Amino acid sequence: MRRSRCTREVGYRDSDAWPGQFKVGTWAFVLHRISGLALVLFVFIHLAAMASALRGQDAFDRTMAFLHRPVFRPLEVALLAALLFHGLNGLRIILLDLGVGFRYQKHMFWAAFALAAAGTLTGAWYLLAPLIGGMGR
Amino acid sequence: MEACENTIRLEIYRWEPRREPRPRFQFFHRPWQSRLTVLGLLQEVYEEHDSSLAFRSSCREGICGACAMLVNGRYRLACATPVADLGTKCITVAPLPRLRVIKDLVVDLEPFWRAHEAVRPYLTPPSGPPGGREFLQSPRDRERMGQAIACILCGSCFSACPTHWTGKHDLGPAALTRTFRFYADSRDGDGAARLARADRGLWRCRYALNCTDACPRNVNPAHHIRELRRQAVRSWLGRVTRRT
Ligand code: HEM
Ligand code: SF4
Ligand code: FES
Repeated sequence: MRRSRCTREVGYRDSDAWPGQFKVGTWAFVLHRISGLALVLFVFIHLAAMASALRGQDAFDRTMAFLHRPVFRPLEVALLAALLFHGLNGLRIILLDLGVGFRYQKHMFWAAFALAAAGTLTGAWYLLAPLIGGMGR
Repeated sequence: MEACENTIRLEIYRWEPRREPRPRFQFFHRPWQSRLTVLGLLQEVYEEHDSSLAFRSSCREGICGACAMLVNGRYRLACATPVADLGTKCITVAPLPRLRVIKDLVVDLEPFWRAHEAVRPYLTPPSGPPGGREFLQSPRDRERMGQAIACILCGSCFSACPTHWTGKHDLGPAALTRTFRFYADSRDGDGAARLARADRGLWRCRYALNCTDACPRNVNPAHHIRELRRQAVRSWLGRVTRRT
């Protein structure tokens, strides 16, 4: 058997990149961690913004004006998505911790995901529609 | 994919890291036999095509755990997987992911065995058997260990656990399942120390439940991890309430 005909080179180091290994629960774990870290980042940004009030009313007004720019709207949508998913999937994890619904963990993930997506889309409509209408402040 | 009518199109992951820079998949065509297992196929390839193919097996009846590998992307015991069960004649086999490949389908399970050793995976009765005869166990007490007892240490769950992928999981699903198996054993007397030894890995589980998906023996490691956590919390609560 000649090697050239009968083999296929693979680029990755071992079978790590096998796509099937990312099961639903893995995505739940990865998304939960990413959203959790994003929320922590937000807390710091939020604290920094609020802390500008310590430097007087003008400083605070300037910060607020800056944050009201249209570019921040999509970020607010992302924040909403992270918060909704993290909170809802957090409930799933708490249920699993209580020993409830191991068998339905995938359904619970999809439920959390769908509710978060629905909430995000609703929120996005309110947050982004004014921009699209050319009314962004 | 080519059509595979009366032949099996077998694709095998080949790599000898010491000699070859990159892995490759090697193709073989084998006549279809309905009663063949995946391990049987590998054996045929080894005997008839290429004796440099490396894979592990021992019992050939699904009880030793040596032949765990990915078959068409799923964790399986090659010896307990008839090709007729795969629903296709195109078969791809690869070694357990995220473990160091030694050669072809053989991976280095050293981290897995180290974790296993760390939880002292053997019965530690408080004293000798009553009357010097043997330890008896009622069916009800046996029931408490549940399916945890079915683990054959194949390494699939360890390979599948995303916490292990991050390189930080000290113990992994199988060692914790083994801890539970002895913790719940009515004949064992090492309970508190078992919880203490499991502590460093017990709280790392994030319920990805890949272990449960992976296990070819239908063990549910995540369930046993949760049960151990519950016991750990209970014993901790017992300690703090007694102190006050
Ligand atoms: C909406 C209410 C929230 C719920 C129900 C919730 C629930 C949870 C739960 C149950 C976990 C444990 C995950 C695990 O054991 O696998 C967790 C982890 C975490 N949460 Fe939250 N959380 C909430 C809000 C927040 C907020 C506001 C932040 C940011 C300040 C945050 C940051 C994190 C981080 C960083 C982790 C660690 C993620 C990891 O270990 O992968 N969470 N959350
Ligand atoms: S729990 Fe299942 S997957 Fe994990 S080592 Fe035991 S038999 Fe293998
Ligand atoms: S050879 Fe023992 S489990 Fe397959």
